[in-house]
Amino acid sequence: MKRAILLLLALALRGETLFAEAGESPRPAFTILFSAEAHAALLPCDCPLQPLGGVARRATLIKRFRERGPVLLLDAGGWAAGGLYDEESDGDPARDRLRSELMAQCMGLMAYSAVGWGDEEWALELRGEDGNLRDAYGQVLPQRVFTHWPDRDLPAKDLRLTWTPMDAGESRVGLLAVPDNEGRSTGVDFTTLRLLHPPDHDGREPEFALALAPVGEETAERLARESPVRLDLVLSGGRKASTRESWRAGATVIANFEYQVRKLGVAEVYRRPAGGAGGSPWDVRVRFVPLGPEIPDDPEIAALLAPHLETLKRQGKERLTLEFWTMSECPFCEEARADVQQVVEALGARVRFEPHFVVSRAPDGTFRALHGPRELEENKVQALIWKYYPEKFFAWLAWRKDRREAPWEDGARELGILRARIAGALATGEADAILEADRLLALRRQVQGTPTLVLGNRIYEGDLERLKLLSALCGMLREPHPEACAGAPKCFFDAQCRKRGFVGRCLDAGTPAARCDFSQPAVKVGAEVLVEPHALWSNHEAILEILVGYLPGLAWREIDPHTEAGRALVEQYGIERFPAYLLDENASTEERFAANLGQATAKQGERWLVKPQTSGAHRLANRERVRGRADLFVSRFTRNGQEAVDAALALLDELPDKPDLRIHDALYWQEDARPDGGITRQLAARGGRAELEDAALALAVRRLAPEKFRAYLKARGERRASLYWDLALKAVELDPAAVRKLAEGPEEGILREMEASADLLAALEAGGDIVLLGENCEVLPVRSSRDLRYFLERIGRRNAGVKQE
Amino acid sequence: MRNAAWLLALCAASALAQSAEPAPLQATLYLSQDDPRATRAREAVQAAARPFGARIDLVEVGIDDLEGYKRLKAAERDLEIAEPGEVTLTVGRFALTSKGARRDVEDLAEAVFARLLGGDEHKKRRAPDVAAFAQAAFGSKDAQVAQDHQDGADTYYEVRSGGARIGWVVDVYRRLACPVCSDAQFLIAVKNAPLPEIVSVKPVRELERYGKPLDADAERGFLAAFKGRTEKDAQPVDGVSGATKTSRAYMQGAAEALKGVRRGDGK
Repeated sequence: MKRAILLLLALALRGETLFAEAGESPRPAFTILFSAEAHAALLPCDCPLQPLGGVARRATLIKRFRERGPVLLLDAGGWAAGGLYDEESDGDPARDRLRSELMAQCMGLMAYSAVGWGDEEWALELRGEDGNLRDAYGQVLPQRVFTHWPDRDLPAKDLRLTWTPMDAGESRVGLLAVPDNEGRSTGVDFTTLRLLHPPDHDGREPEFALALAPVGEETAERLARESPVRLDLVLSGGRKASTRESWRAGATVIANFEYQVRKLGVAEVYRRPAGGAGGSPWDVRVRFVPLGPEIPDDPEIAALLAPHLETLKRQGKERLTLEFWTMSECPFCEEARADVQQVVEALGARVRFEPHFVVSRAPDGTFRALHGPRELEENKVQALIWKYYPEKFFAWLAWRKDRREAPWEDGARELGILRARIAGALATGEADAILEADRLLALRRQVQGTPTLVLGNRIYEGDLERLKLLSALCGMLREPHPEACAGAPKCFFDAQCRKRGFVGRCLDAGTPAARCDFSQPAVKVGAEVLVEPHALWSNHEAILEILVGYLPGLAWREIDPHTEAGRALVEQYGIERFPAYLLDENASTEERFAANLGQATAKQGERWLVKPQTSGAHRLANRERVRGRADLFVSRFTRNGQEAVDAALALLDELPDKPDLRIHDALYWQEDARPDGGITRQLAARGGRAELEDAALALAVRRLAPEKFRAYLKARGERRASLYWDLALKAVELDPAAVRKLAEGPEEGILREMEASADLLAALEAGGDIVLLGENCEVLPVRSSRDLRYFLERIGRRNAGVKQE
Repeated sequence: MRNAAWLLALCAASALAQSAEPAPLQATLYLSQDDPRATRAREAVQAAARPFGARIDLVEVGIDDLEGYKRLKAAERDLEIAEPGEVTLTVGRFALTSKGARRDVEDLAEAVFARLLGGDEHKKRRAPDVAAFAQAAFGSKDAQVAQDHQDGADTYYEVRSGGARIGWVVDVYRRLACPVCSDAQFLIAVKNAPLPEIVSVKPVRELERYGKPLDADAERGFLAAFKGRTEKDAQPVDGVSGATKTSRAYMQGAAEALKGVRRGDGK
């Protein structure tokens, strides 16, 4: 009976199955469930639209996975309260301690196999005033890789780490722990890593090696790349720098984390057939399962939390910190400074102001500032003035504003700052230490530009305008509010008033009397979302967030377009792209529908269809999926295009599982009106005729010597758009005359190929320097070489799956 | 043989006599010649040290050159100076700084020297007049006090009037790990219902900053903040600047007294 209930519960998971790529593969040898950076988020997130997460749901899901096979449950650190990323802290140490202790107890109940120790955990007061270990921590400490945990500071060279044996079903897993905090690991030479056997080693070697690495994406990837010891999986924690769920570095899979564990990480580990590709006998498939409201709470965890719900509910902060990320010569920072100063001074002791400086390091290790050496020096002076004369910091900025060229000593004299203090601190490198700490913090915070404000550990995305900033800060502070908040509007526009099931309106917007009104219930609108469960990419969750913002009564179900119900909808509503969003007709009765969604939707029969070009629907419904294939269209005459080619070619050498990659020149049809009213079409390229001719040359090379095609693209890229096109041919030992003979004209077959390429690109309705068509049907967003790598790697792995089948 | 033993005993006694002479107290004054207040600071410290003669070894370090600044930084690190200043005086393991309008070096050097060279009188517990405090705090001339129980260093007294319990007085004592600070000792009156609530707090040992009594306004403001607090909000009281350890001892002591009273109440 119990099993039947669990099965039903599993089926109730919206759009999810416990088995990845269900029906395609045998059961995994074992499954690794993982979390990181939970930051004592015990309850579902306080997100008005999609409240995901919560330990009670997590526990239920973990139990379901345990029902189906061997599971290792791991956490890569950052589970305790406090620290840089804890948005739930209100600054009350007693409440934070309670949150940490409850999280520890919950993790004990969930029976974590190993628990990482991040910055937040090192800061825990594990012992009570009586000197004994607090009861709550006794439950997770045995799970911590305690005996084999390395020192917090690793040696830069000759790195020795002891592995911890764990049994996952019939497989022996070796677990490594890397110390927390990328700052500590930045200088470590992972090429010197050697594994030590644990003292109680039973002689069995680990078959599968995995590392807990709460060190940020880049360092986790460096560990994977540089380690001479084969690592099959690295669980990255600490800091996220991208939205990737997982990616490869050589034969190692690196898995990211989901902030506050709003989704549970799942790595299913399959044995590859003997002789399989990739240098690893394991195929690791990573995905994240959302912890949504359809997953019931685990009763044991719910009972543990019940007495504390009132305390755990999010509340305002007694005091909060405002980080002001700046560069001393950034003109917008100076503009923002006046408003920030006013607000900070008005809120007094309730807000602590902290300036931070955005700097980088040059390859030789020296600091660099965006606006040059003068800015770097001034950043250092300002950092020291903040350290030693915080009360004079704003006065310093005001002094410096009109005296960019003046020596800092003049300002020190004028403002009564002791010259010896600043000069001594500059000479002894104190400023460098502050800037380095800021550099690392900026990485962790993902500060991309200046000025950036971080309020209470969260990047402020509102306008840098006095009233709006004051309003944001007052909204975060606990009652009673400082006097200055009396004049702060609670909202400026309707979008700031969001509540599921109700229409939010900002009344008296932007005035001291402004308030959110939720008196009007939202129209209940049904919707179907056609989305492929195993697409290479999908943005439908983000689009649904937006739709729910405008239609707070929206209730949707996701439908696979390849099911019978899905096919019927595709046919009935003429759907051309997925994800597709079909809203019930009554959606238009919702308040301000025409203004909010009128332009973005079109009436199809009795439903409203969100226009695919508005939602970024990228999967072409009429194209067959060809698993493992990738078509890359590039304008090789542009820098971006050639870099994409170079990156793709390098990946083909590097990836253990290679996609079936086809590189095309991005060609277009240029249409001109004729005097007789007709249309003349001719092939064109972004780089003009020269690029068009270069495309013909490349096709000629592929025709004459397909084995040299990649080498030719590389050689040609080294002299991008050069008039001396023959040099690249000679470099790969091809006869320029023979190639030219085919390309000039061009030869009929080559012309047909060029036209077909232009037709395809036109059919995709895509343009730009780089277009990636995934598996013949998905136009994938490629904004960086990292994106390109991510998609080619995914497609490559699916290609390997196809070959195995 | 006997002579040799006698000689050894004589040598040992002589060595003992020599070691009984205390080493002078090391004091270092760090300042910059650019600081317009350097001369005044130097004169104040020298004047404060003068009465102690050779018992204080006062050295001056200029911080305008790199070597001097490095020595200052080393001292700041070593002594964990939380509020670096423009003028710094280190005395053994203790430090004072002056910056802007805050002139602790000039104002407190004399008191600190006296405290560090004056024995440990400021570290002893005193016998308070609990009954007088209880009568004043509860406004009841016939209030009677009786020792009820001891919890660590704190002594709990039950206060009765007209045959009924009207509250508690706790004699709170906290030893402070700070050589110049006097220990914290105070009486706290707590009334019973509905929750234990602080009625009054009175220092037994004077509230002070580095050996100098706190001015009356600051003391009144600090003590008044405890009035009406319950266990739930006993901690967040604004501390006295320059008397952090004492302030913290008062806050913790008050919180624990409220808890202890509750336990006692249940008997």
